[in-house]
Amino acid sequence: MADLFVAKDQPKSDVTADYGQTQAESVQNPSQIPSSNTNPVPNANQNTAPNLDAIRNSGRMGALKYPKSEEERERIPGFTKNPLASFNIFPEGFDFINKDPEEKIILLLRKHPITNLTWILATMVLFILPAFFSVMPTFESLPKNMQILLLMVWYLITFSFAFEKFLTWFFNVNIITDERVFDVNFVSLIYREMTDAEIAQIQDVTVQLGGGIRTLFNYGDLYIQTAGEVPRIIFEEVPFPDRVAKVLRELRVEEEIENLEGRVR
Amino acid sequence: MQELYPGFFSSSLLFLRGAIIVGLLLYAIFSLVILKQVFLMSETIDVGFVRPIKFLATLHLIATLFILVFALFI
Repeated sequence: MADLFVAKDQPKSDVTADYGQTQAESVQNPSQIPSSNTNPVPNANQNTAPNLDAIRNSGRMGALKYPKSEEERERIPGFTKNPLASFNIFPEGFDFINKDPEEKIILLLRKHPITNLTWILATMVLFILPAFFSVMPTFESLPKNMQILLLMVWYLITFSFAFEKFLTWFFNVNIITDERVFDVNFVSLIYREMTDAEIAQIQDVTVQLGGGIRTLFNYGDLYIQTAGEVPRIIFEEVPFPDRVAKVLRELRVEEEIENLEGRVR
Repeated sequence: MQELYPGFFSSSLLFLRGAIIVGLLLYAIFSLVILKQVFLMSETIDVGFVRPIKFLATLHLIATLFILVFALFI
């Protein structure tokens, strides 16, 4: 799991970034481009960035490696077919309403599963609590029908509590595509909000990981500062926040290259 | 208590039953909102596993209506 985008059998140098040199340096120093690559860049601003494909292929750029086949996708660490996964890279069969036809989904994130522990324990307590109703004289003195009714109402509320918590976790997703980041906040069953920002508008990304449990299970918050209308997007309690930050970094580099090449996508 | 205050006990039961029925009526509306929200969310983001969730939301509404009917006729 050393690199998110390297298929297990591939040599690392093929696809990953050399993080000893910053991405900006790589773009700004065309003299470092390997001379073997002479492919001209189509529609490019050739005076300022003569051969960005060469930079990308040189291994210095943190360019994403998109899986070309189903097999390649399945070999990528972090990919899973589990619809309840909280970290899924290049998710399969996933779609959302605002997605552009050419947009590719890179990451689907939810809160780490361990964050559900509190409500699961609470539900278990609520579930077994009626077993102790029999020791309450008031409950015992009620007619049998009323006892059954109260028990049914109790379990209905317990189910509703657990279901609401599950739905909140399930639909509270963070999506990273090759063009945008999305934060779907399913605050409660009757309130939700969806925020998105262009990758190109991201100014900086802060990873915050603190506390014993977060360190143990490797999850934390990601603060994405944008130049857009929504100044800050927060990915809360997501697993492997450093890897997510790396994905965003590489996508930003991709965007920079696209801008230099004069491409829209 | 039932033997000591039979009138108070039966009126308390009636009040309790009435409160439960009113509560369940409001809860049924809430269940309907949940169902609608689940359908809306599954259209907004198709993350898989939607059919079991829709089934649970529908079951929740049916269970609420069943308990409401039960409370009305006991």
